[in-house]
Amino acid sequence: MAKRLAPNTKGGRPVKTGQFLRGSAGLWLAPIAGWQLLFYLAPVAYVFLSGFWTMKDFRLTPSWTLANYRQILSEPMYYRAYVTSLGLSLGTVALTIALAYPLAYCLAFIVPRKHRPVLLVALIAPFWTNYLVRAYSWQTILANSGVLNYVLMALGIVKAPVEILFTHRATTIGLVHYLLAIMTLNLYTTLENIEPRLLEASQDLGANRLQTFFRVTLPLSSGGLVTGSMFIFVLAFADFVSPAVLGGQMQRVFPQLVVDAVQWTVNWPVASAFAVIMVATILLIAGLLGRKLNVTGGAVK
Amino acid sequence: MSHPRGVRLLLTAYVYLMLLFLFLPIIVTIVFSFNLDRFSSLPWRGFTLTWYERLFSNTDMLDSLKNSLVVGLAVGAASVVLGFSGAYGLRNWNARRKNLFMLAMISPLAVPWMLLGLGILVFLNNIGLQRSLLAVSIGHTVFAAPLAMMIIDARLATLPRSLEEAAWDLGANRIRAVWDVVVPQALPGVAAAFLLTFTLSFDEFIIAWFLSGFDVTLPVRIWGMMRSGVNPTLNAIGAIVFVISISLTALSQVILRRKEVPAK
Repeated sequence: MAKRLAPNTKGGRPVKTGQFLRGSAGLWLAPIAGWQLLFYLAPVAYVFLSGFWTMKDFRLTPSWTLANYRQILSEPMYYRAYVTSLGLSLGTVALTIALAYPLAYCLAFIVPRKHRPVLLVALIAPFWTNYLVRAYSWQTILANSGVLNYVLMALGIVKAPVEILFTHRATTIGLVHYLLAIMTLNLYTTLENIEPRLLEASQDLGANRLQTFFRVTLPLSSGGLVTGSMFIFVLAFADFVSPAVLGGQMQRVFPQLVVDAVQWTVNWPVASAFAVIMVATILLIAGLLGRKLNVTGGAVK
Repeated sequence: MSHPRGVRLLLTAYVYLMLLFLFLPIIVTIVFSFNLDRFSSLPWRGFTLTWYERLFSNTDMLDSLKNSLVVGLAVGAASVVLGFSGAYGLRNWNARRKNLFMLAMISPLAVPWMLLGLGILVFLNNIGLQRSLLAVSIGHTVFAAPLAMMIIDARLATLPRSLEEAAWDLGANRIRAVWDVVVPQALPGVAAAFLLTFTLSFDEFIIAWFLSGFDVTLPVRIWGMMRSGVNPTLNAIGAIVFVISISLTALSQVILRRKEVPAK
């Protein structure tokens, strides 16, 4: 019995339970920390290192070289893919904001409080189908003989089918559909947290509704706008399913190059170099957006 | 702040329009999974169960479904064990240290998963592990375990310490107290974490694409089918996956919402 009680006493004096617990916290945290160290940190480090390595006889060999990056930077096709990806994802961010803002605004200020939970769940319901199947479904909708063109022609709005599938327009639609809920939820949470008295004060001081929106509501929601944009940029820039399924294979996007390098040429160092460029771009854009947040955040105070 | 009636109506109509946009692919998937037309186009050709029959007689498909279930169960189990241990260890850390640790653990969610897939592929290959379902399970656990930790941590935060302390005073050692007292109390959180991580793993494509070898998971099989052209069987898969995911998510919510475990 005395032996069992031992952990709670030190030199015969009782130790505070808090101390007793804290002492062993590391032991309980070790499994998950170790797992992430081994299967997350080490692999990511490998990607960064292997971008400077070479592939010999289908084996990754750590002989240092800059050839992979030189090859990427000197190839116009890769450059075009990069610009395409950048344009696609920035366009997706802009369009998603444009569609999500009124939606979030309405959810936060107009829809009665008791209806909100249902609408918020409805917003994320589409995520419960497989992403690939959703993209495939957009094929069914946007094809020349698809649902959308059938409806448009039946209503007499267009005479010939509108060509959407296998263009960047289809890719953008797929991406916006995939990311709309994320942006809306981000914006909704910030808009919901705006102190209502600030809006009243603005009106009391003589601002009309538009002035109140642009001078008070919009600046106060910049936090959600920025974090939402970051998420969306990362997901859109790194996605290769939408471009491959909806955009066709004519104009490649940057993430497809990673996939190609793994699947066809089995050149991991080049794939790694592509991935590093991808991450660098994401960090750069996130950094720019983050600075923007600081600037506007400061202006509000 | 009040809005004029016109603005209200317009914005409310807009909300429903956006909901239609969001639900359109699911509706189309479900509707066309019963359409006779093999090109999935309108006009409606008639009702059929052919695509479901084809799906259930496709052994490749059933194998990949089985693989996905095995991977999902392995990921769920590993995540719950790692997540519980982590959440329990975090209990006595102060908020600042705790948030820092959480952030470090959860950061794989902010990284492009393509990077994770590629990195784990290269890393495992270097330590002599080939592409396999085991590799996929390892990869999925990287994003699933921290999520499980967050969910279980939220559950633990609602529990009083007194019962565990009582167990110590009654002579239980550390492990015994955890197993007999903390685990049963945390069980709803553990179950919800298991269901969520299972669902995410079941649905994940890009990491699985990088890491699966000869045996593939369901999304990787779907990808292969999509590459080979129009196939309404895909609609049937989509409809089934939707029903399964929605049930599991609903189940995890019900479990999480239950306030207390009834005392024995």
